[in-house]
Amino acid sequence: MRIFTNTAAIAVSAIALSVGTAFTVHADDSAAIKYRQAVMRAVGGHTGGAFAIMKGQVPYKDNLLAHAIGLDQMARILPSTFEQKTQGGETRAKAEIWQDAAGFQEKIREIQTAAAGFLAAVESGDQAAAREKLGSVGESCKGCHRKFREKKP
Amino acid sequence: MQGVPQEIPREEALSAWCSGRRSWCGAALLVFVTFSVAAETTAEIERLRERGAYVLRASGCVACHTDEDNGGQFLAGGRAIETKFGTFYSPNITFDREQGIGAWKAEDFFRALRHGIAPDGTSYSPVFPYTSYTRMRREDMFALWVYLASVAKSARKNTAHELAWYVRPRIVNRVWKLLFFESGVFRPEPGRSEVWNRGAYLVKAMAHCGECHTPRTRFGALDETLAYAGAAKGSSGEGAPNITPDAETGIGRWSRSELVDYLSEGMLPDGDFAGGAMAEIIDSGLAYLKPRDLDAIAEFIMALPPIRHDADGPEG
Ligand code: HEC
Ligand code: HEC
Ligand code: HEC
Repeated sequence: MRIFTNTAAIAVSAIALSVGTAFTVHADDSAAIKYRQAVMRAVGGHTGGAFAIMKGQVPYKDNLLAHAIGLDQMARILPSTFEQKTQGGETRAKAEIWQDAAGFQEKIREIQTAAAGFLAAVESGDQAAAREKLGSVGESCKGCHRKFREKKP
Repeated sequence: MQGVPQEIPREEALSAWCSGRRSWCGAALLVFVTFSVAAETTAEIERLRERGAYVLRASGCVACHTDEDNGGQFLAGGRAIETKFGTFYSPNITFDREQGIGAWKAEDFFRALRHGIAPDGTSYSPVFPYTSYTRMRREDMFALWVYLASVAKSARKNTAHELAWYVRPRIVNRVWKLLFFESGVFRPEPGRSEVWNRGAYLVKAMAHCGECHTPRTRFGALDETLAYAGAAKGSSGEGAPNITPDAETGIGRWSRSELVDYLSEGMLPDGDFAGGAMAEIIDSGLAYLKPRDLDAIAEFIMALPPIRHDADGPEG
């Protein structure tokens, strides 16, 4: 009898546990998606800001370094935001990110190289180089969005 | 005669240039050929070639006819184009005589762009957007032809399309054309500005924005009641968003200069960057356009009637 109750208890808690994990996986996915998008928006914010300054649309030249550092830092943490293979949810991330890991890695490398190059150019004070490197940053965004992000609805 | 594309005999080039023009053209041509100063002809061909390279970029030919992802040669084709009818593979349009279009006459080329008809008389699928190019001016088609003659040849063999059985026979294209296609020329609207008209020509005869941004009916024809109001995913490949100036579902909140920036480098007003087919169209085409032409495109797009339409919404 005791054996039975124990087994039943174990079975029930196993079911509870599995239901629990099923739920947590979902909750995790949506948190992971939100976090990934937040980091991407930070990337977008720094890129948009840097373009506005470089084009002279706003006068805050002294802020350029902060954007360059921000972009470089975000590019470094970007891979971690794709570690979790999320499924479904409010995301535009394509499944190809995890199916073609090598191709995706290449795009990560491109943004990291471009962001580091932009930071170095800003630090050196070479305007022309900074302009060109910011252009490569933009290319790296388009390159990855082209292959690995669903089109805008 | 240095600089003249070797693949086009000079007489053919010049008579193609004249055909369809006023009758004095032939007479002038005779005088021209007889007394021509070689340098002038060379300069004219150089000018045409430059214009042709520009038309090629503005018309998005490169995105489809170069298989960039697989390291394909410029304009050598082989790029897969997914549609709901199956996968098309773009043909080789370099001047290789066997595998490309090197054995064509200029007239064959004009007929393909203007009427969607191949040299053997069969009709092309509207995946090749002759539905837009039909409006292209003859001198622009000619410039394209002169430019193509100067592009490095490739002997890449064409890949057969992989299509559903019911669209495989070429006759289907002919029937489709009878129902939904009319060849035509671009007519400027007199009531509109020069800039608007230039934009209209670029959008409708070259950059074919509507081929992606206008939804299609079940038969693959453009639904003009929803012109530029966005196509759902699946109707023609990945679909495309609403670009009419509607504030909620379109780009009504964008400024004109933001639109120009987007078309030239791909950046959205919030610092995000274009992806998908649009990133390709920008990188391989629109990025090469002069600021005044991008501005004309923006003028035309911003003046479209705003249409509230959520392409991926419940009503598609
Ligand atoms: C290695 C691939 C990759 C690179 C490089 C990349 N992105 Fe992204 N980006 C994505 C993916 C995938 C998404 C969709 C994420 C999602 O919806 O879960 C995205 C989404 C975004 C978003 C929308 C975030 C939101 O609110 O949903 C912005 C903005 C953005 N990216 C900006 C940029 C900018 C700017 C750059 C270049 C500086 C860039 N991205 C580089 C892959 C990339
Ligand atoms: C080959 C198909 C194709 C063609 C041709 C094309 N577009 Fe697009 N366009 C797209 C796709 C797909 C997107 C969504 C891009 C994304 O997800 O980042 C888009 C996005 C856009 C956007 C951004 C809309 C938004 O709300 O983010 C604008 C503006 C735009 N296109 C304008 C144009 C104009 C103007 C032309 C012609 C000069 C054109 N497009 C030609 C496919 C196309
Ligand atoms: C959206 C993709 C797309 C674009 C843009 C496009 N083409 Fe094509 N083109 C195709 C496809 C696909 C075919 C084959 C159609 C068929 O087999 O029915 C084709 C066929 C052709 C052919 C016939 C080749 C042959 O061997 O019969 C020529 C010539 C050509 N295109 C030239 C051009 C030029 C010039 C442009 C730009 C002005 C252009 N195309 C733009 C996809 C495209």
